Amino acid sequence: MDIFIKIGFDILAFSCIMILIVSGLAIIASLMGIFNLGHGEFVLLGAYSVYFFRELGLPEWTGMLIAPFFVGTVGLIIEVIFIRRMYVAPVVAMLATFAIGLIIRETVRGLIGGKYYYVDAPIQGLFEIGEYSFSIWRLAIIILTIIIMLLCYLFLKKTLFGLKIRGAMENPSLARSSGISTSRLYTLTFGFGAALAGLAGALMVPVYSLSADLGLAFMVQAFLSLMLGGIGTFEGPLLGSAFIGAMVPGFQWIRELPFIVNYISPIFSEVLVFVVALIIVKIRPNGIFIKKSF
Amino acid sequence: MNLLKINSISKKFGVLQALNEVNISIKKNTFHGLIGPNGSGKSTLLKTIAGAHYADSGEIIFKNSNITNNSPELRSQKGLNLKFQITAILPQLTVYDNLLLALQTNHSIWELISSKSKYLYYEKIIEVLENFKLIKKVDTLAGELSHGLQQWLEIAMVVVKKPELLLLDEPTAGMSPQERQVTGELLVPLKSYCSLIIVEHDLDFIKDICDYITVLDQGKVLETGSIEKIRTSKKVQEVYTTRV
Amino acid sequence: MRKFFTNIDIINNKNFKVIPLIEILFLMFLIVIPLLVNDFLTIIFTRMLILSIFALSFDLCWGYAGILTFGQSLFFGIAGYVTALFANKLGFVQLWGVFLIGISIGFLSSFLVAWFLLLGKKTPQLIFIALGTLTTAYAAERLVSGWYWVGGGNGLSIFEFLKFGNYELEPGVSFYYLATFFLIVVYLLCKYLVKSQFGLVLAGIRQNENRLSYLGYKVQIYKAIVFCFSGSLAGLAGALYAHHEGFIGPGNMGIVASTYAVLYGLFGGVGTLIGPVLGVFFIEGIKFKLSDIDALKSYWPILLGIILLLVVVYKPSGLLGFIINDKERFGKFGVINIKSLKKFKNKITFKRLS
Ligand SMILES: Nc1ncnc2c1ncn2[C@@H]1O[C@H](COP(=O)(O)OP(=O)(O)OP(=O)(O)O)[C@@H](O)[C@H]1O
Ligand SMILES: [Mg+2]
Repeated sequence: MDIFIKIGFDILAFSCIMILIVSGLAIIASLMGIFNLGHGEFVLLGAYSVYFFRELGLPEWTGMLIAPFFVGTVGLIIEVIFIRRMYVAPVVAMLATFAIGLIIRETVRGLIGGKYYYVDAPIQGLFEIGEYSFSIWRLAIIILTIIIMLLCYLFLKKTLFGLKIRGAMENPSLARSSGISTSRLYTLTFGFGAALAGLAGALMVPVYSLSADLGLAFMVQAFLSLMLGGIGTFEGPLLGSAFIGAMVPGFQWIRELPFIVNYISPIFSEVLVFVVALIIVKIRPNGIFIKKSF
Repeated sequence: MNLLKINSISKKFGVLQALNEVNISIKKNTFHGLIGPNGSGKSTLLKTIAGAHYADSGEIIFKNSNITNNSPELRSQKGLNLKFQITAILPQLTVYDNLLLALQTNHSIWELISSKSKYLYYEKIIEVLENFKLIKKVDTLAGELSHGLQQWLEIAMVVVKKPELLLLDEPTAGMSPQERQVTGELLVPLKSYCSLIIVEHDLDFIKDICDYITVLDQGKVLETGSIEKIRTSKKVQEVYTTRV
Repeated sequence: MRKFFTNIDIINNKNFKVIPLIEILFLMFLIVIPLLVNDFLTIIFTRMLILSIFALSFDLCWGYAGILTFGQSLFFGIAGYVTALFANKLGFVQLWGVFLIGISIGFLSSFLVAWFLLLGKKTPQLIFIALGTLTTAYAAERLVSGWYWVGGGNGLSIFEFLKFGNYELEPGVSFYYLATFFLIVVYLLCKYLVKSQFGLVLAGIRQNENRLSYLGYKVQIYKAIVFCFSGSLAGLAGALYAHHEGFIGPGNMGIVASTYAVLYGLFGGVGTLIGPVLGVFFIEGIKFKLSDIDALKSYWPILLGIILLLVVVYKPSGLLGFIINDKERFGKFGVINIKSLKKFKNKITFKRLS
């Protein structure tokens, strides 16, 4: 029994991180029609800021607090300088974000080298249920994610600005013609999406350790979640992330079962997630949770 | 005999019922006008016929075969062609190449690679360009044409394929009255081999060239029949306070 | 008939074409290089030739068929690995075999990917293809780096030289001319393809995919064909590369390698064939120059990113965009001058009668 709590907890923790990453990606994609291929590097940048402040001798949580603002600002600047020029050509924008991702990744690599760094969680320690122990930090991630998502939800549903965003999401041309300044909206959204990714990176760095290629793996997983969930709704990407969030630790756990652990390498279970996700997306191009395709 | 028969087609976009149990039949060699207020589903209907959308329910019978689930390519090969509401020419190809492209659809890939069909359509293209007054622009990039000429080019691209059913979505949008007149003259000769469904806001234009009219409103067929019938219809007058 | 001809007199396309000139100059440059530089540099240039084939494979996909692929390195890598395995495990290093392996492995792997990503009842979204290819390349890199039979993270080394009969093709002048030969053949094939009427269809697809399917073209099939052809080219490049460098590793298979393909293409100018080739020579040339300066070495990848970003945002037509105008870049496919018409007049009438 306890084992299921353990698995459930792992899945929940991972899903929460995916949710933070994917929601930023999704809001940019559905609002601006741009798939931000540099999103993984926003995550990386968030993770890096924690490391940076720790190197300065400050406690980890300073970096975690600053990360979303820092990454959000980076996002704003990128949007204003580059992305803004390319609203009409989302594909070109996609290539540009790919290049931006490359620049960020290689800059971080230049700063930290090809090594892995471990960062301690601000809240350390474990709590126990039955014979299994759970990390308090992961619990904190789960709680934080839930709070943030609730805030986002309320923001979208209850505020005027949220209403504008929803309007622009559902019908961009209509929103533009009814006088909503979409370009300011886009800039802020892009910054906000980046900030969420930065936060995700900052929160997860104690769990996953920092390396220059950190963002790449998460970007691929985040995109698969996005496509699994479908674009254009609030709930879709959340469910998609939960799906990927369940598969990654789930497959890992299956692999670790005593009778197969010697036959399958950890990388294989990681790749299997991609394969399964791609197959599902192939069968349901508009996402698994959207009933009618149009 | 009916060339096209649409049996209670419905189409929803989310909660919006864009088409609601639409029935239409089109006879051979007739011109059919499709009118209705903005957002009444005219474009959606044409797109559903051409295969850009698939209907939620209902069926489309073209030349006695059920094409409801056919892909757009297949429908086009069967002789059903659409001109989009938003002009969709290929801006970076010359006018000549646009037409060449329109004509080579039935060649095998091998024939295309070996360019066997390159010279085949020369006369046909020149002829249609002469008809559509585009001959002087034959070597111009299509994207550099004026809006009106682009519309003509797109009509020429579908006409040149000698379709049996042509779907035109607002072919005269953005044209000057003279250009509109010419467009009408360009279309009339098609009647010898082709039926036409034409969406237009300019009712005079419709009256001049069409045999039948169907009025759509909020995804439903409000009235269908000869021009006279539509002109006197009470229902239509309620929706359209403008002259018919 | 007369009437047509008089009208056509209007068209007088004696525009001066720049691309053929660049091509000829570049060809002459290629032929004389080994005579002018030492062996070491010849080897560097040989690598550029092989990478040019790789760059062309990306260009065909993105520049000509509008398939945004981040997976060309996958085909490059798989073919490289297979020929390295043939060399290591079986001692097989014959040129014809390596050629066949490269082409066929490239074809097979790209066919599988195309079948999965491109073909099917529903038209795939661009993002699905971009992401699908990216994911496969990423996954493949991860897989080989964890698979010890193929060398794991260290990759595979090839210790024997490529052989043509009994003659050993040592990296150097002979390998250089071999690569030149392959590049020329590949280039001409690509040129023939994109100038043909098939190329016209591709040009249409690139500009408005929807329009083409309403005209009756099975767009996805065309894309799949180009994808497989370019996959074969990437495979050929990979097989040659593995033998030339004597090495193939996970890095040649993953996203970084694909990024290079994207960069070569965009920098040189996609949608032209000579552009990506020039792109390779420029990028690899700068890289080679910079690798001498230790202080700059580690910043090279950042610089690459910056170049890519600037090109994408400010000069999407790449290097060639500075030299040639749009009309030449897009090209023409029909024949509309009198001379060529007269030549084919008989053909037309014949066709008409039959
Ligand atoms: N792809 C789509 N997704 C969602 N809603 C759509 C889509 N296409 C059309 N609609 C909606 O369906 C309704 C009918 O649209 P349609 O374009 O068929 O109208 P129309 O009669 O052609 O109008 P117009 O005269 O302005 O061209 C409109 O309310 C429109 O907003
Ligand atoms: Mg319309």
